[in-house]
Amino acid sequence: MNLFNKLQRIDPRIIYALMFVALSFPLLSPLGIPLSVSSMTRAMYERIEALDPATDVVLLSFGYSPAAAADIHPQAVAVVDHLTKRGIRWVGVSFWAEGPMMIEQITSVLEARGGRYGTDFANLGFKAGAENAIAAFANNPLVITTDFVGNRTAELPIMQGITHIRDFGYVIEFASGDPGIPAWIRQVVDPMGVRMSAGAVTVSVPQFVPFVQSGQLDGLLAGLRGAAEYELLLQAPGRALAMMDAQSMGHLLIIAFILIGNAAYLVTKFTKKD
Amino acid sequence: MFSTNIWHWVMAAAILSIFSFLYRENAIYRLAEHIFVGAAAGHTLGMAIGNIHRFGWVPLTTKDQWTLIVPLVLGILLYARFIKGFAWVSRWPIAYLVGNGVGLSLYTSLQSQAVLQARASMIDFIVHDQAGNFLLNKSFDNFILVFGVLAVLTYFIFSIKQSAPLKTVSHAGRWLMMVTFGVSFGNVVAGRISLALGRLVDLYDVWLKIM
Repeated sequence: MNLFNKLQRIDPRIIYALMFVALSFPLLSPLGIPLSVSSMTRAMYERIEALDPATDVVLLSFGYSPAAAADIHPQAVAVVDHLTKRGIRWVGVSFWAEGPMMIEQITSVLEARGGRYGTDFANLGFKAGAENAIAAFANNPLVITTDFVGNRTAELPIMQGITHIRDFGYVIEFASGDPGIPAWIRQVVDPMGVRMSAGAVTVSVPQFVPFVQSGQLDGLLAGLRGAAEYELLLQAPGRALAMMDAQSMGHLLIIAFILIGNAAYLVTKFTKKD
Repeated sequence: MFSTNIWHWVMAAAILSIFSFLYRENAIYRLAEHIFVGAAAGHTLGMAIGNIHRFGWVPLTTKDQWTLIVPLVLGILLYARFIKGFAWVSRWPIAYLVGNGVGLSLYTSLQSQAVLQARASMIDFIVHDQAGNFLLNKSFDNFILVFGVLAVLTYFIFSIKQSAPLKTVSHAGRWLMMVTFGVSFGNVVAGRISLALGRLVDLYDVWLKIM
């Protein structure tokens, strides 16, 4: 078997090992590759910058599970960091069973830093029903009668004066599947005229960009890169930014293998013809 | 170096067990996989039972919201499909779910994902900024967007035989779709790398503390 045939039949374990090295090296020894900020990320950032800390309460919907957390949880952390820095209160809710766990990972850190649960932020937990639940919640957020830790939702200081989703200053959905961004747009954005931004897993970004183009979404964070861009705007480098070098190296490796494989295929094909 | 939290060690063991599949399938991988599937199913079941209790049973028994009997009974009837001779009963709650879903999303889907998207495609080819200067980039973007929508829609015209000019536009639509699928696939690859990176960061930063 000549070299070009061998190149088309590389043992996958060699590729996995090279990918492991390509991803690990930049994590342990950062390269400092520059990162640009997309207009979709900037739009979301500016939207939050325009909120009034005295009156606005932001609704964060956590529509993902630990399986997608590596791609999307850094977005939620960066956005909550922004809200906290600006003194904007926020309420977390989830229509995914695992969502409250992800909210709790954030609230536990804020509480350790002196944040006041129930006043500065709250975790309303999970409500089953998918799109039905989103529609019911939008019409009356108090349909969730108790929060994740057992407090009566109507008695939480942060929920005072909130009887409809329009009473929230802004809505942000972090989505990795269904129910997700399309459900929120169908039930909340278009029928009720509520403004919203979203964060999506990298895989789903192409299908949601049209919503940004049409104006149905103000902004969109695109996976881990979106989180890194947001950290850059906040001037608070975090996990996402640290992973970007490794992400770039991983992509370069895959491009290299695609080029090698295709070149080997073409050489083999033209050699056979001869 | 090395975390002293037992759960970080459990996490590291689980990650390395799953990664061991990349070398070859083995018993340790199967053990980790079964634990994950069982834990995820158990968590989902616990949350579901909690929801039924929180939003169904408690209001029914403590706040006299007797109308909640209807969804509770419909939910129980779903399990009738496992009883021989009574499986037909489960069609009623399924019919309710389907009807509810269609009613909830039919109009809104058409509005949000068809009408408003079509309206967003009706844009200017000649774009000026507020000072009146012609914006070449934006105008070109808009042209590509509109041409792309029309070309792709043309590809899906199957009711007439496509010839000369229509066929050319249809071919352009096919190429644009291939580019779009390439973009989607690239995003899939990027997403999988992000997930792998998350696990590596957990190993290096949380477990080994060498980042």
